[in-house]
Amino acid sequence: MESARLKRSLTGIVLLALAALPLFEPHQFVLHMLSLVAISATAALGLQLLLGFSGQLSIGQAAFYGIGAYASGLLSAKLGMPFIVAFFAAGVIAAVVSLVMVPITRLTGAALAVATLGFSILVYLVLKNEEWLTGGSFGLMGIPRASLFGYVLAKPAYAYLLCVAVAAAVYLSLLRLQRSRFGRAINAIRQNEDAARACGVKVTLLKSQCFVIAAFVAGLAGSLYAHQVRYLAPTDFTFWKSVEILIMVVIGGMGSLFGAVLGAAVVVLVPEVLREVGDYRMLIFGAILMVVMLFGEGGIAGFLEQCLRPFSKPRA
Amino acid sequence: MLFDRRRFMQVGAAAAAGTLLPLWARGQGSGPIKVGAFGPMSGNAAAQGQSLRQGVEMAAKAKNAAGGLLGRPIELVIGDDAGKPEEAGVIARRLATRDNVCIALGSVSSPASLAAAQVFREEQVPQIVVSGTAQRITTQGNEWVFRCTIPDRKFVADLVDFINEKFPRLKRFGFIYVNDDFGKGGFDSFIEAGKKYGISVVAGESYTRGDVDFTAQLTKMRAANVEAIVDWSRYTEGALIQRQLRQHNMSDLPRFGSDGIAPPAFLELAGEAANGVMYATHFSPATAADNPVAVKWIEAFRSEFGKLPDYVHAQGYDAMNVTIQAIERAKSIDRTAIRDALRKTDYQSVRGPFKFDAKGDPTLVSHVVRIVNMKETNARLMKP
Repeated sequence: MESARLKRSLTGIVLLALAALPLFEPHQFVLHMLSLVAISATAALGLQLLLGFSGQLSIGQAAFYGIGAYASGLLSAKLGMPFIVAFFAAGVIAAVVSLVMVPITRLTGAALAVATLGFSILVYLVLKNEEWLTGGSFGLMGIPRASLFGYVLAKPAYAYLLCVAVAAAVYLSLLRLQRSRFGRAINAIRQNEDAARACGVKVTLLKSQCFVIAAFVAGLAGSLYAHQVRYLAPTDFTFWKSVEILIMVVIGGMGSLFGAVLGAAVVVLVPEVLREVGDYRMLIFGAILMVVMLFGEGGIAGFLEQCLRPFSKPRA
Repeated sequence: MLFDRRRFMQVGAAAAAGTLLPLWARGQGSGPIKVGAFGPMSGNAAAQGQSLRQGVEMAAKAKNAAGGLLGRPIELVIGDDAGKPEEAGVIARRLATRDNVCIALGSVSSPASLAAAQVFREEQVPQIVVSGTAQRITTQGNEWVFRCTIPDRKFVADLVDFINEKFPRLKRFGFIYVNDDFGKGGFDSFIEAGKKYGISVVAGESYTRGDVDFTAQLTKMRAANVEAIVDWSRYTEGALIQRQLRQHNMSDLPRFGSDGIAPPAFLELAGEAANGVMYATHFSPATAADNPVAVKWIEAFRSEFGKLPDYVHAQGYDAMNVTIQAIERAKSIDRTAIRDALRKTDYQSVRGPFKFDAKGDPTLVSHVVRIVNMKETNARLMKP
C-alpha cells in the first residue's frame, strides 16, 4: 500500500471511530474531556498552519482563542444570537482583529514570537479590565449551550459530536490547503524566505494570510470552548494558554496536522490522568514533555510514522 | 434446545442484575460517603489551597474517629484547580460525574468558584464556596450554591458599622487603596456603606501594586484634613504605608484596614508603626476568645499542626462541619435532600453563630482586630 493511501485510510478509520464513540455510551466525563481535546486540537491545527507550514512562531494564539470565546459568549448571552451565527462571527471577529498583525509579519523568529506575545498580553488586559463588556476579572457568565437548528445540544454526546465535527472539518480543510498551490508556496517560505521571494512568491501577503486563517480557526475553537464550559474568565486566556497550544503543536510534530491532534490529546488528557498521582502530577507532565521531545522535531507523529514505515511499501 | 431466546434474555438480565446491584448498593447504602473538596493545591495561591484542605480534613477526620457519618466513613476527594477557572470547571465536572460526590466544598478564588458553580448547578450538586467573596456567586439565582465566607460588600459594611459604633464622630475619611479589583472593590463598597452614616471619603487615593513611596497620596490626605484613614492594601504595601504615616506624623489619626494586612508578615514589616491599626477580618485567634467552640478548635489545631490556624483553615473546617450536620439532618446522601438540609443550617461555627440566608450567604458578622503592643486584640471589646 502506498504511504499516502495508508494515511488516508487511517484518517478515515480514526474519524469513523471518533464519530461512533458515543454509541458505546462512555462515561459523560470521558465525553467532556474528549470534547475539550477536540477544541484544543482545533486551535492547535490553526497554529500548525502558522508554525509548521509557514514557519512563523506565534505565542499569541490564546489571544484569538480568547477573542473568539468572548465574542461568541457575548453575542449569544447578551444579544441572544443563535449559536451558529455566534460561532462563525467568533471566527470572523478573531480574523479581523488579526489584521493588526499584518505589519509584524515582516518579523521572523524570536522577534516575531515576542511581538505576538505582546499582543496576547494586550488582549488579556482588555478582557480583564473592560468590565462593562467582558465582566472583568470575575468573568462572563450565563452563556447558553450550543444549539443547532433550534435543538439545544444538552447531551454530552451531542456537544462532543459538534466539537469533533468542527475539528474534523478544520483538519480536512487544512489538509487540502497543505496540498494546494498556497500550501506549496508557504512551504517554500518556511524553507527559505529569500529564495521564495526571488521565485515570485508574495511572501508578506501569504504570511499575513496564514495569520488570518490561524486566527479564524482559533476563534472557532474559542467559540466551542465558550459554549462547552459556559463560563469565561480572563485568566484562562493568558500567555500560558498560548504556550499550551504551542506545546501541542511541537510535541505532536511540526508540520503534521495529525500530530497537532495527538499533541492536543496529550496536553489535555495526560494531566487529567495524572491526577491520581496527586501533588507531583505537573512535575511528571513536564518530564513527559521532555522525553517526548527526544523523539526529535517529528514529535509523536514522526515517531508513529517511523513505527508504521515497515507496513508501507516504499514509493516506486 | 435448552436455552430459547427468551430464557437466554432472562438469564442474561438476572446475571446483569447480579453484578450491577452490588455496585448500585455501594453507591446508595453502606460504603464511604464521598465529599469533594477542591482549591488551588498548586500555583500562586497554593498556601490557601492547602489551608482549605487541612481545615476540611481536620473536621472529616474528627467525625470519622467518632464513628463516622450515618454510620459510614467520610471519604474526601481532593481536587486541585491551580487557581484557574478552566481547571476548576474540569475538576467540578469530575467530582460531579465521575467521583459522584454528594456535595463539593471549594474553591478559594472567586473566578474558580464561579466556574465550578456553573457545572454544579448543571449537574445538580450542592456546593459550599469556601473562600470566594465575590457578591455575584450567590446572586445568579443558583439554588445549589452556598457560601462559607462573608461576601465582600458585607465585609466592608461590617467595618463601617464598627466605625460608626465606636467612633461616631469620624465623618471625613482618607482612603488609600491598591488599584486592582481587591482595592477598588473595597473603596467602592466603603463609599456605599458610609452613606448611611454620613461618612464621606474626602481624599480617595490609589496606587499601583509594588509602589514603595506614598508621600504624594499621604500629603493629599493631610491637605484634605481627613479625620481618619482607611487603607485597603496587601501586607507589603500596607506595612510601608503605616511606616510612612508615622514619618509624616499622621499615625495619631485612627487607622483602619482590611484583612489584606493580617499578620504575621504585616507585623514584621511594619514594626511599631502597626500599633493602633484596626482591621476587619474573617477569623482571628484574638477575637475567638469568647467563642468556646473556637477556643477548643484552635487548641486542637495547634497540637496537630504546631501553628495557629488562618482564616481559610477556619472556613474549610466550618464548611465540612456544616456539611456533616446537613447530611445528618437529611439522613441521606441524596443531593437534593442535602441541599434542602443545608438551608436549615443552624450551627455554632468557629467564627460565630452560622446560618444561611435566602441567597446562601452566611449570617456571620466580620471580626474587627486592633493591633496593641504588636499583638492582635479584639477591637469590638474596646470602649467607644
